[in-house]
Amino acid sequence: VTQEQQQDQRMLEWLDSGPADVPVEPLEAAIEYARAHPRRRLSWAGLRRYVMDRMHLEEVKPERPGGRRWGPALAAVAAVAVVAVVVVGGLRLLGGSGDLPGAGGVPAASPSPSPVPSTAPAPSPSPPLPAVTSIASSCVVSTLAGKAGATGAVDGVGAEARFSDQMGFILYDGEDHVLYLADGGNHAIRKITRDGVVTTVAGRLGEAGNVDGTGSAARFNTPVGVALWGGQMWIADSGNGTVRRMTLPDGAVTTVAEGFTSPWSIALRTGWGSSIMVYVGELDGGAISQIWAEGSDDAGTLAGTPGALRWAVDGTGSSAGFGWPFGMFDQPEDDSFYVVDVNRDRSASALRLANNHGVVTTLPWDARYGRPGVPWVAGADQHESGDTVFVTTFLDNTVVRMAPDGSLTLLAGSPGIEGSADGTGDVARFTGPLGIVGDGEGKLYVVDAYNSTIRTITCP
Amino acid sequence: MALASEAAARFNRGCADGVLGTVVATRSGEHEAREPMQRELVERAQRGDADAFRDLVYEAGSRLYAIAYRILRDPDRAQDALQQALIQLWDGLPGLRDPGRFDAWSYRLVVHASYREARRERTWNAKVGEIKVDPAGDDRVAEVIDRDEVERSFRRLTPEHRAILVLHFVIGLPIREVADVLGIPMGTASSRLHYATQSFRAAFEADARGAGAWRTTA
Repeated sequence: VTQEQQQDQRMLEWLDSGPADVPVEPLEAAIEYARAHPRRRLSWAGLRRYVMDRMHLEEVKPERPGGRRWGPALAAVAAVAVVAVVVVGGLRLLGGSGDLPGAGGVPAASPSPSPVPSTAPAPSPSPPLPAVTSIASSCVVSTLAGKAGATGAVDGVGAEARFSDQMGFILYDGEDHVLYLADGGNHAIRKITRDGVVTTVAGRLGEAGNVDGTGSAARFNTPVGVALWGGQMWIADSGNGTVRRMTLPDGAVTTVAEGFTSPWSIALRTGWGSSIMVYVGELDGGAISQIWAEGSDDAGTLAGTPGALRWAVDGTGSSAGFGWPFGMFDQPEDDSFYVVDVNRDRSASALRLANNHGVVTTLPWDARYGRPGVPWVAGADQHESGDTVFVTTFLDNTVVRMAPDGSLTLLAGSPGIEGSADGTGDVARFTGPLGIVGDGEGKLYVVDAYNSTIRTITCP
Repeated sequence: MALASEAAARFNRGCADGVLGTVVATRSGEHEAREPMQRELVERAQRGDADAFRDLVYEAGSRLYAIAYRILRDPDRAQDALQQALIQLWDGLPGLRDPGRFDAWSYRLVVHASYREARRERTWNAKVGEIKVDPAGDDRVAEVIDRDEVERSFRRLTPEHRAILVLHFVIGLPIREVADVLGIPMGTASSRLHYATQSFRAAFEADARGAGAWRTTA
């Protein structure tokens, strides 16, 4: 027996010498936690209902055959209701950060709202609504792909293509000059050329699953968030609770991390060498999680406290608070990234700036332009003079530009009014604009989620 | 890098033939034995069955606590790490695509919870104290001295090194599965295991030399 073997034997004996019994306290605490937190799994339809409920919109939303969209006659009624909430919520946002979830002058959602018949009279808004002051009337909105109100799962060109009514985020690949969309309800990643040719890169349309593979061999379950760096796309696969990675353009999908509850938004940062840090925001996650794309030894929390919802609380690391990190955009080589943070009752959201040290600050925002939904930042070369941030307002149907000096301009849509009309500025209509990205050549692409279309915005 | 890989490969070949390899071979079949029943519990818990989760927690708890305790060497903090991991288990169960991978995934959660605990408050060295022994002691005292040497040697390892030793030698995972649990490439896992064992031996030898000198002069 060699000396090394003797040492190994003693090491093993010592390793074996741990406590024989596990203490029951942590086991019982976890069981109690499980009973207190019944299983919650992301469902887009459920989520939309959840959001709409808390916006008090279900009671004025008419049902009509074949769709969930509002009838034109009631659009104005709904708009009044939405804008009223926007204004009140906006005052709180402008009042500063440090707000508590559920506070803010916005009436709390009724525990059991009684449905109001569709013939109910419109509520009188009080006080009168202040007007949005800055509108870019010359931005032209068009429909690139899909047909408003016609959901489906069809590859094709322009209006022949069909998307689900659960579309997620979009990104632009500057190498190949194509767009990639997380088509959540179709459980697939779609590719869209700038000419509007839609194909499916990975996943099989309409077939949910959880399989790594290439192209149609891969399966997703409601992919939502996407981010791109170095020819690889990271995907928040919400229904599977995983982060997936897909190589472009071949569509080879692998699972990078699992164990999330409802990963929703995702952003990237480059580390040393070729390493990538992935930031993940979960539905009501209360925090920004971070994982290394290669190996998860340093997985953890960048800012906030997982599970503890403290909406829009500025600070560093765990002293900062988040509600639901709804939309994120990061330029991987920059130090800071933008996060839209939605509060618990969905009555307000805030545009926030975080950096890779976990320092989080809330930016001033005028909610008359709509509550921020998803940000996209134009041009990495503009940082010396500040960022120009384009923001969709998912619940308020507008697209807004924030200039480097913080001033806001309404590019397209009208706050709180749904629709699908192409046109210029506030004449154009959206219904649930979600993902947004630019091609670096002056054109914005917007996922018009509840119209199931991809829209373009071109500003002179 | 090439040298490190070669050393790691040599080490692993040595493990397979020696004392350490025997232990791993003996334990690596335990997972297969419990897999069918565990799969059913996992699937039920994924659907939100809290009773199934309870059974699962009690079935897996001792293994997870064994990992946390051996990484942290502190019962209170090991309990904290275990509780964190179990709560993450419940929250993350729906996202576990393959119930057959429950063990690996739960090990990953408890290892990372232990890392967090370890980094939260680094008090390893502060807790390593000299033991009081009777210079004219008997065999029992010598045994205590031995155990203290091993304990001190182990405490000098990083949490990452402790984790890989525990997963490989206590839980009995093959190096491929250890790499999977830790989320690192297999080559990295091999070299980490190599260096963890080498570090342990070096610390142990250094300590033994010191203790021997003390005993001789006492």
